[in-house]
Amino acid sequence: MVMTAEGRMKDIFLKNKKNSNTLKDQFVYYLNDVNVRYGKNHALKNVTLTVNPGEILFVTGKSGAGKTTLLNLLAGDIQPTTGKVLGADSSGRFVSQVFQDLKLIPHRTCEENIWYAYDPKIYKNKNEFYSDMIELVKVLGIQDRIELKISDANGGLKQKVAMIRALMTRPNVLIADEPTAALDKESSIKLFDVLNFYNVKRQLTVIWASHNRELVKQFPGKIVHLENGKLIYSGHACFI
Amino acid sequence: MFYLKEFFKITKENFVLAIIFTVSTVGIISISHNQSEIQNHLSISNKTQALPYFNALISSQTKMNSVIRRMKQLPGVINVEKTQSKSIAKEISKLKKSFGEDVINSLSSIGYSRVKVELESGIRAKSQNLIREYLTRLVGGEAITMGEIRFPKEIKLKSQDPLMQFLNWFDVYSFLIFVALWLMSAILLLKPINLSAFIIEKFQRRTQTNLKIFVTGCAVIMIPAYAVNLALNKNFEWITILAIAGMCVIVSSLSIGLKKRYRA
Repeated sequence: MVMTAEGRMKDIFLKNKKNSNTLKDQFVYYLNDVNVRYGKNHALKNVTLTVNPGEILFVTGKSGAGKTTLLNLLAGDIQPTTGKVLGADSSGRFVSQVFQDLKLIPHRTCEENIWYAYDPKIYKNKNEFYSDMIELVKVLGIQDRIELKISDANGGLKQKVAMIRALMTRPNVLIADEPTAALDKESSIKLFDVLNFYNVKRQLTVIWASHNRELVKQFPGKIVHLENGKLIYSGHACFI
Repeated sequence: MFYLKEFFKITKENFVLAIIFTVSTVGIISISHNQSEIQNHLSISNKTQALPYFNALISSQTKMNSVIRRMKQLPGVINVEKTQSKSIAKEISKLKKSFGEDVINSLSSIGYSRVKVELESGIRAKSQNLIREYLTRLVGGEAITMGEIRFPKEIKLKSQDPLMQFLNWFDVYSFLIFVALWLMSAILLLKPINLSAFIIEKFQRRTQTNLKIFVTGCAVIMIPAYAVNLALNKNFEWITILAIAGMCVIVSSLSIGLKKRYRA
């Protein structure tokens, strides 16, 4: 029996629908009419947004537009004043973060900071973790500076260390707040390539906040543009 | 072990704070455990007690240890102590200067020891005589020379004297100082602990990490400190248990309460 292309698509759709009975399997995050207020400051205004599994989502906007608030909301660090956020507290899903202030321990070396991602529940042993780490370190070209203390490292090195630490946790979702702020264009593209590789290989959902819209427009993925806490645009980068 | 290692890493990076925290923790436990001993040594009431006593010169051919032991068993005797031979030699050398060498040489050739016998305050004259007679019988009349019983005046301490007041309340003041230092160092130490805990929780699948790090670290300091105090002074003191429990409650409350300050 020969099945048409349309028939095959319908078959795949029905199979997926059968396997994903819960809402959790259909999206990573669903924000419905969300508002966040810090006192008089209305940081997010009526934001409705869906983040799908395996998606790369860029959150753009000027400083103070509400990018970090949106990311903190998705990470479950803050609660909305009104509205609903579905998926922020889903068990079984691990969310890793690259913080805007990086949250690295200054007295320790780059390697020691990356070792914070070592979780015996995820890795069979320390050797497995170490070989994975060295692989990533080489890809990002910091193998000769890994013994440096964070207090002696430059901004670019710190950001790469923070990114490696986040990826070494083998997350399902990666939330990165301005991960390329201290990187040049070449390094930014290299970093995106690494994330893209993880996205394809491990179905990693990436949420990437950046104030540099021109840079993220070069990458494939969905863009969400915020202005004064309002969601102005949501769609693919090529249509912006 | 993971939390303990993390605590040691943090203390290594915040060395001065860690030292203050450790010393104050040990101080709180030691003072609360030895409160009565400290009070006995330093309070004004003990300083004012002056006991009646008499001195005796006893031939060194006598078995001094046996005499002292027997004398101490007598009711009405508080303490019997042998004066060091060095101080006697000093006295003799002084006497040599004032008297003739020949006289003193003949005296110093006789070996003797000086003994001080302290009696209960308010002891009756009859009991005093009985004690002196007993000592004479023990040693033998020719081997002993006894001095008069002396009643030293009570040391009058001015109650307004700030130093004496401080010594009288030394245990309380030092306890409060240690508590203040402990609280200050605990709050300051929580900042690096919370940062490490925040990172661990964000990048590993762990919860309540700051509480676990801090409580493990405190236990490592408190348990040996209490064990050593208990070994040296076997009295069980409820106040020590209360102090340890109080510190644990404060550490837990601070860990939970200040956790959100280092979030997002």
